[in-house]
Amino acid sequence: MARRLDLALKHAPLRAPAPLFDRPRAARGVFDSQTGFMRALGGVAVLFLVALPFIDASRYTMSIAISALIYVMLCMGLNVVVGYAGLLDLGYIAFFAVGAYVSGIFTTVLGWPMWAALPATVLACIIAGIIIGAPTLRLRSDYLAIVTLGFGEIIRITANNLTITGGPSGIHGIPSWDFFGWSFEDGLTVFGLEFPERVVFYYFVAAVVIIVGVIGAGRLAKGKLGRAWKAVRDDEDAAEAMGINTYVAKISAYIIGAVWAGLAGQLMATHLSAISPNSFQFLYSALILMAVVLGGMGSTPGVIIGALFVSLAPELLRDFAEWRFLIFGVLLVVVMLFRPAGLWPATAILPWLKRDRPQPPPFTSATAAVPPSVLESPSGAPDADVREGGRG
Amino acid sequence: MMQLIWNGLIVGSFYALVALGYSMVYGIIKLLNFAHGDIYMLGAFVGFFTLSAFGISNETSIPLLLVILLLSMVTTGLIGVGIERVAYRPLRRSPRLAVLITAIGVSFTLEYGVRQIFGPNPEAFPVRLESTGVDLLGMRVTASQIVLVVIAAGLMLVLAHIVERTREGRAMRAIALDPQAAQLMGVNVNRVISTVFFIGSSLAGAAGVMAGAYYGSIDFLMGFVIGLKAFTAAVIGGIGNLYGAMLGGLLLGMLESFGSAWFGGEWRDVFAFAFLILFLTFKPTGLLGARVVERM
Amino acid sequence: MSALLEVTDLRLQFGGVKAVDGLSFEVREGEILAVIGPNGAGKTSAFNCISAFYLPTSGSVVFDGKHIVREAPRIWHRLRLVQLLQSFGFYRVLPSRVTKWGMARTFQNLRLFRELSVLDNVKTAMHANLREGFWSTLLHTPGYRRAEEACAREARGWLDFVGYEGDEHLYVTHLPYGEQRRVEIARALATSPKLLLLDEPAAGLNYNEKQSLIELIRKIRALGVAVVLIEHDMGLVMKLAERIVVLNYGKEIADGTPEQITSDPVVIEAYLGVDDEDHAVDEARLRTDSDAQLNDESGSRS
Repeated sequence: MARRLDLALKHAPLRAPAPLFDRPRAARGVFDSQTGFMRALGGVAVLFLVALPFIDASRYTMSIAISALIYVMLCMGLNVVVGYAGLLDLGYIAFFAVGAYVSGIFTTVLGWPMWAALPATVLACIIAGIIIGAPTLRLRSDYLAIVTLGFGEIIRITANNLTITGGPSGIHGIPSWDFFGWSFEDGLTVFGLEFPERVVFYYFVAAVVIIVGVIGAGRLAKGKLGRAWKAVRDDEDAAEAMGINTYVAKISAYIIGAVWAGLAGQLMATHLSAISPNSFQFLYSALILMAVVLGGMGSTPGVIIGALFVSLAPELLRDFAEWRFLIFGVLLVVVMLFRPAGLWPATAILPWLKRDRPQPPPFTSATAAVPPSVLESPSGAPDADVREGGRG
Repeated sequence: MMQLIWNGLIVGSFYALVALGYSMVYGIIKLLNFAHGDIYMLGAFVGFFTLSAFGISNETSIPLLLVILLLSMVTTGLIGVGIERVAYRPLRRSPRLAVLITAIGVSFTLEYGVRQIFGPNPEAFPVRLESTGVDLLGMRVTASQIVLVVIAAGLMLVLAHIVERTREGRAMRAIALDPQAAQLMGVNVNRVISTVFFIGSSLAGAAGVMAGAYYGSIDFLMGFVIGLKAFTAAVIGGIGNLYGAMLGGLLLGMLESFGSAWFGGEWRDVFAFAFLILFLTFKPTGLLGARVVERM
Repeated sequence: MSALLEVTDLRLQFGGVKAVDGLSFEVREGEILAVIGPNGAGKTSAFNCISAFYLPTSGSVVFDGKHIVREAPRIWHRLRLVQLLQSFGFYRVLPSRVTKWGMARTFQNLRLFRELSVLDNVKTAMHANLREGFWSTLLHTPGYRRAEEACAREARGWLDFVGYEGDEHLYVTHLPYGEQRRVEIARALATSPKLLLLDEPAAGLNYNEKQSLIELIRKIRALGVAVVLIEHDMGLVMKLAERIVVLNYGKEIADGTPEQITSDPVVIEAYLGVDDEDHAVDEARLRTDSDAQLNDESGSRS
């Protein structure tokens, strides 16, 4: 077993001695462990997603649900960039636009089916991520914020000015997904249940993409890459000293964020079947950032809550639609002043698990490692060994 | 050709005024005051509100403009101080990301607060400057343009005097170098930072009034793009350096004026931002900025 | 024994200040070398040059046969483009690369990853030694699980090695200072170094913690890792070091065994100045001086 584990490590000149004692196995129950509870919560959320069309399949509900899912996808992507890697991206909507426009152009101008446009979208987003990230990620974080903001504006204005993107009126008539002659627009009948087009789209594409997106981002954050991102966020120099190429770590976070946004963009293009530059204003970058910050940077459940809040609030508070952005602005300041880690912080421990956590060890625990011979000579004695003694 | 330079100079002086505030605030507390562009917008709206309250419209008198200018400067200056006190000061020891996000929140609050009060549509600025001009060296120069350039130059001179010659200015430079040491030397850091916010915001407010009088129409989002442009100007000149901000503003104005002449007006903003990205890639310290040794 | 690290005529200039001015020394495999000198003598700057965080003005650093300082062709110097090219990663070695070659370091002011747990801090340092791809992370393949398991086992091994006894899931900010120092050393060891640079490892530690630090450094040496430490605590240095390099004003003023150093008149002059008071008084002053320095440093980063 140990040998197989060793194969999982690259050849390194120095290996740690074996651990002195076995760690107790982590608790596994739903209410006994953090991961167990979060998994159960995720399962409930997935069940709800699947059951929703059976509860209410009206055009209005499905439309809101799909746009909420798109928001979740965007926020998960931005969370990788801002929450994990600590890079403030104020032009995030630009990648959303790249995804939407690339899929729109490929399907309407070139006549490709929607699924074939998927690799093109991903590739375009990777390229866009590299183009904007490569020159700017060497900069300090605050410069990066403004540069990404400028980049977002560049993409929007370019889309507004070019003819291939349809100018200010955008692209219309983007087809839905189809496979081998069968299109989602035909609907689907299974076991006598008839699913209209919107429900099929919701089921097979939006929900699946978002579930994969959320789980994927969460898994990446837990692996080697995710640790590298968080290290870069916490202390770039120390991360570099630990053998992490910080530039590569940052640009990979950026590319992942771009791909997530691009997929969301493609979803939106198919959902609305029309896109225009107005959907990609700075306002929306700020809204997504707002959702991530409000929910809790770096925290998956927090970010989902934030995304749902930002996307559903205007629907629930119709009367306040006018006030929405003002309220969001004030909320952003208030959250930063009074709860900077967000509603559900990344470091949160479930309240009933808190008391199980051992307290930090007492300050004197270091004495245990001191051999008795050293302890015999009193502190402050004139010999050189302990001259600097009781300084602490 | 000369016309392009002259136009660039006018726009550039607006940029320079806003960029100065950006640069001063960044220099002293290393904060990108994202809401700075919106202070510019507020300046225009303060002027608009005051004049509307007195029922003045379509005036062309320059003394009136000067009075409004002063009033707006004081008001926006106080608003700037208030923003610093409420939103930025409690976060002075927080990570940069937190302060930056707060600044975005402030910017949103100002923009949409003004939208709630004055409505989403552009308003006509009540004081206009007459557009009759003379031809000079092959360019068309109006009296109002000269007035604007003179006011801008005057404000910058006053600022340079404050920073270089007064006790307060010395304190500012000291804090920019080392806030803790400055505090140990008996500088009231909080008061000096408030002063910086006052000066920076009032310059932006002045630029806002001037832009209102020059272009004739104002709206709640007018600060967004100019905030970005002013930041670009500050970076080109070397952020934290006052003369750099002035130089960067004028340079960016010229670049834009030539850029839109060559590539077409619709690409003007793209040109400016692409220039910003290139500049940050190849010379992030700007033209006059000192090489910063990143201490570990 | 052959030289693991060779520093030759290293120079570093900040504007007009010569932080390091023609420093040369070498570290042999598996030895403990101490670098001492008054405050501002350029010890930490030299460390930063060696670990490639600073780009020295001139000189050469060879670690394990590999050059850490790269010479740019003269043409770029003449066009004043060297800094730009270096900022893009040309004509320089990144610190991460140096770490992969087998040189690890700690920092003068603790620089742990604040929002990661103790275990994750150590795991992060194993970045370069871990076989874990993008897709296997996404799909949680058996290979990924094995890599994570091996990573956790290795990290725990290091935590046990340095004698960390607390909960591995605690956030590092919740630990007392001495424990944080231990975790930082564990983290540096997890990069699997041949040479470990310790920048003032004893700063801010109490007497007991210093004693266990001495034990720990000896244990590290026993693994075959060479240790270079910057330290103000002369007691600790005299007890540990096999060789001592003394710096003053960026220059090396002495190099030798602890006995040679303590009797070297140049060193005494650098530390105490050139007045001939009673020797005992000097000793006392040396103690209070370095005490003051130490308190100053631990207080400056809050």
